[in-house]
Amino acid sequence: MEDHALSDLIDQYLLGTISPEDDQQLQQLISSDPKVEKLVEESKLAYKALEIVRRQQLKAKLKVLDENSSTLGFTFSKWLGLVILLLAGCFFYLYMSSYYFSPDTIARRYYVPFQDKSKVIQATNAQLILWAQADDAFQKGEYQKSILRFATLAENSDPAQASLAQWNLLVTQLAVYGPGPKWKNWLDAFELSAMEPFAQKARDLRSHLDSKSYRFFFFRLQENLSTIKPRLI
Amino acid sequence: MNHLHCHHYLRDTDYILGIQSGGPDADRAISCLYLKYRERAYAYMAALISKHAEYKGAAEDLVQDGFIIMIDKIRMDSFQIKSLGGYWIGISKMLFLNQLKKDRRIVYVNEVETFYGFEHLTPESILFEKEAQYKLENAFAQLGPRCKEVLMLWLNQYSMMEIAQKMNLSSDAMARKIKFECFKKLKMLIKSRYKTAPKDLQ
Repeated sequence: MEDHALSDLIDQYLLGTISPEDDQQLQQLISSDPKVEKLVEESKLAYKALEIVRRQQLKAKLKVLDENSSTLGFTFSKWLGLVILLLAGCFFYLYMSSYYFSPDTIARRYYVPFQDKSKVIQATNAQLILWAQADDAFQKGEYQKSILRFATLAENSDPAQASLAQWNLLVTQLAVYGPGPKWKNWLDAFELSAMEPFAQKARDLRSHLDSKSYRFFFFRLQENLSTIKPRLI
Repeated sequence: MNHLHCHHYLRDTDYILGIQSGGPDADRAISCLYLKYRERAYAYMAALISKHAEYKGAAEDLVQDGFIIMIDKIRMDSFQIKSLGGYWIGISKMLFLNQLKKDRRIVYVNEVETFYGFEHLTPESILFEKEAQYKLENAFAQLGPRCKEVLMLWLNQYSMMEIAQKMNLSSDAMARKIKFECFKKLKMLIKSRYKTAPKDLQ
């Protein structure tokens, strides 16, 4: 048999692709010819050397795959998660801020219930009932009802009681109408005429409404959000 | 990794056929198979190794070695395993337990050894194996880059036509000739490294 033909036969034998007939032929050659036997043994050893190198190359390839896939994994899973978390955080912050700066929430923060001042303000039973009704209506969000009660109480001859009622009236109007120019005029007038601590409260409320954050979150954001909201829904 | 396009709907039998067919398909199948189960294999081995502080960081090597053994078995055997992922983990686990047994001289799981076809290794056989392996590696390293490439492609069952195309050779006959010469050269280099007959050293 020629060198190349025998070599092809040995190649197939080593690669495991040899047919049963060729295998039988090769086995006969091995058993009959010591030179062929030696050649096959040498080829097996050379093949073993190649297999060793192949394992090393495969291991190196797996390390590269590990590195690439871990980098990719970070990009896809962790970065994506981080971005989603960040966006969710931003939306939550904007939502909470728009809630925090809404006139209704501000009014509830600046509202002074009669109970807080009941120790320093003297009132008749009829006035106490009126105060309780006004407070209750405000807490329930029935602002129009509480406006009527506070308007009555604001006519009181006792300056302390009148100031408290006027202040709560202003705050309730803020919840209903927002900080319009007319409301701001009322606030200015109240600030000048009211007794302490209500005058100070009025100044605090004014500075709050004049702050940049309020302007941004109430005027700009809330308007934009109210435009987007129906579309999102 | 992106260029691999590993489809998730491929079954284990598809990977086995891909690997056994050799050539570029086998390369792709090997990479895809590795990526498909690697996280599962790592997670399992990391959990197993976490109970043994002295082997911290060994999971990666064990998983990779287990995978290489599995690929060798797929190439050689007519494979009838249903879950390659489970088989791979089994081999990696066996490698780890063998390592434990070697380090602590404790017999853990003989039945797994039998199942995965592991041979019993003695310190002498390991040493002898390492020395023989070094000689073979060294012989291969003496070859030129062209010979190394053509032999590795042939070993990975690329057809002569594919080898010719990959190496920009004029024809498959030229690829066959180069392979023949390179393999002959490798046999000569190995022969020169052994004083005794190669047959006795296998």
